[in-house]
Amino acid sequence: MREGGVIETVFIFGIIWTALYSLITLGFYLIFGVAKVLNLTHGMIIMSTCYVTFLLVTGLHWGSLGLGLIGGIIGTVLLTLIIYLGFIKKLLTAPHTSMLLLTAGLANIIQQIIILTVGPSAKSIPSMITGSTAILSVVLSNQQILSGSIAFALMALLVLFLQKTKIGQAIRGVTQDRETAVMCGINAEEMYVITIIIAGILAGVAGLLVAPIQAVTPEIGWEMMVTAFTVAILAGLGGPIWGVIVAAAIVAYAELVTAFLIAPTLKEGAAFVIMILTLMFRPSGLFGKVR
Amino acid sequence: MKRKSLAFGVLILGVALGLALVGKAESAPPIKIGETSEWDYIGGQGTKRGVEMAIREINATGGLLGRKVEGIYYDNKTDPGESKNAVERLLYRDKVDVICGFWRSDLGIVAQPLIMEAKKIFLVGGCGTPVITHDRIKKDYNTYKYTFTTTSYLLAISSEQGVIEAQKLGMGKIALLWEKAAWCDPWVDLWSKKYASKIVSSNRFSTTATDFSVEFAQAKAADADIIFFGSSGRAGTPSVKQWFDMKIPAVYVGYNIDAQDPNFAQLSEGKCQGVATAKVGGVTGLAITKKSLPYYNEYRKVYGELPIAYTNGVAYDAVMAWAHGVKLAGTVETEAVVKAMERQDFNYEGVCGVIEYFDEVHNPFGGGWAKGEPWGWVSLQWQEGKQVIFWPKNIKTGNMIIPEWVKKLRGK
Repeated sequence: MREGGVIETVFIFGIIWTALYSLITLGFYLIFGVAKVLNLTHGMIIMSTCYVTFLLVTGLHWGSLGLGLIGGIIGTVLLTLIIYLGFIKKLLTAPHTSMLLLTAGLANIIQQIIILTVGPSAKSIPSMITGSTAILSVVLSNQQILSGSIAFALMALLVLFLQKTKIGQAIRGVTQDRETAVMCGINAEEMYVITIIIAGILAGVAGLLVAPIQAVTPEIGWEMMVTAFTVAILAGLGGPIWGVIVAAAIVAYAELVTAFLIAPTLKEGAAFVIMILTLMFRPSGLFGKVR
Repeated sequence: MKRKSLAFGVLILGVALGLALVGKAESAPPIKIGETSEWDYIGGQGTKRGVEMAIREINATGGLLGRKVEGIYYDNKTDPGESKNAVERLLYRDKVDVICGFWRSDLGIVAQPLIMEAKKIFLVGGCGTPVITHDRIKKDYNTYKYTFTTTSYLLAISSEQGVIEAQKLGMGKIALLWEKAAWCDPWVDLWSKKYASKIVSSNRFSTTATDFSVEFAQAKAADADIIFFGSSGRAGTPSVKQWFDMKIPAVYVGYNIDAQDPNFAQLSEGKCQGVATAKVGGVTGLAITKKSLPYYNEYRKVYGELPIAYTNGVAYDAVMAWAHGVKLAGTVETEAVVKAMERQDFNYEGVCGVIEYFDEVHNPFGGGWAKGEPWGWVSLQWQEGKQVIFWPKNIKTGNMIIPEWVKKLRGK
């Protein structure tokens, strides 16, 4: 292999992880933008999709991975709605600390339910597509390429939806100024619910795209939450969607470069360093509007 | 008439005495076995299940010294503080007779002194570190003599067999890629020196890592032909998938807790052909002793799945060996049981192997493993969807191979 193999690997895998980190973050980011809710159950919702799909495919023997995937997404949307309508909605006007405590508690409950019902051992979701392809001399599994491509495509669709449709424009209106949007006749509560459903779909798809690449365990919920939180803090809460992609790229490449140049053991720490530095020196993030 | 009355009186007295004795036996307090491990990991869950299996069997066969055995279990939540709390609860609130527990070495190292201070027997539930037995018992026998293990501290030697066999097959340049964890740190240091001239790439990763793209790319760039990989966490399946998908032209050997799972061929989507790992042989479904297969089948019946982690067999053997020591001593009193377990004619047949005796640092010895070999451990390789044992030589079921796709990529 040529000398430049490692640098090319960092470059290519950086693109894949940028796409996946962006998708992992978007649901969390949207809910904060619209409802100003810091929802710490977001990572557990992503994890739950993986488990629902796993149970449908292997436990109930639905047979078809496609049906399992759809079932996983539907399950995720339902869980997101239950969490919102049953718990979060009641604390919408409460201080952020109360919301953080509530959602952290719910996240722990979801994780314990998974451990008690499915068990702590790692589960594997089958790949949607087999084989591998070389890009710039770096060999990737077709699943990794597919996951990255779907993530980018979904983000493009989301941007189009928010800019070109009436509902999308109404969501943006509520995000920018809730009171004015309500005065213009927009039903803010309805927009909250629609955003929750969109966030649930994004979380579900994110889970399904990441699951075949890495092992599914009850711990990945918190890890995804840390990733989403770091990317969102760096992008700046309430900012544009492309800001999330830029922030995701910074986090993904920081992790890979840390593993390459410093030590693989410090790879996960790179995200925390970014989070701390952002909070210390630029609390509103790179593109945020909320301090 | 008098004689009849006397006989009747003796009969009544006998019956009363008998009833009193029966009553006493029934009311004898149970022997308590405390268990604490990391229930959110399959390793720790295996320890708990091994203890459950042993207690179930002891009670089904009439108890121990005529007394029922009761298990008291606490999840240590993989946390040092919680581990200490669990051990203190077991020792001073539940007043257990013996403690079996800990899969994670770092937690076992922290908890061991508390158990020793209380002069209770500590049966190691799966920690692979040399610190707990080899180092501490050797340095301070009187304090640490209450510790016994059925997980040999030499277990890492079975991981190294893959490297040794691969070298015999003409592979030589090693990419050392092990998790950063207490149990394997001394071994990685040792191998780093032993194979210094052969190691072309060396990396440690965190126990939560699941992406090895950079590390594998470095190994490939350095032209390594052996990936010497070690993970007791969840890196197992993703690393194997990535090694196969990235077409890394090297054999994959070492320690992979996921590859110990009998369902690994399915979990890895068939990408595990040629992957070699160490495992406790008695829980692979092979008749290592006459107890191995019945245990394997019983486990499957009780838990509805195959034994995944090695720790279930280890913890089962630890408790059963202790029970054997109790029978030899005729009491659960700690000092007497320690003496019984130190007997050179100890001879306990477990599911992982036969323990002829515990050596001077309370590691098991016998049953086909020579001095200096990790008792109970085998090296196996995935070949055509099956686990083939290639070490030790008197237990092996086949030879190690190099996967065809690796051969092809290396032009062999």
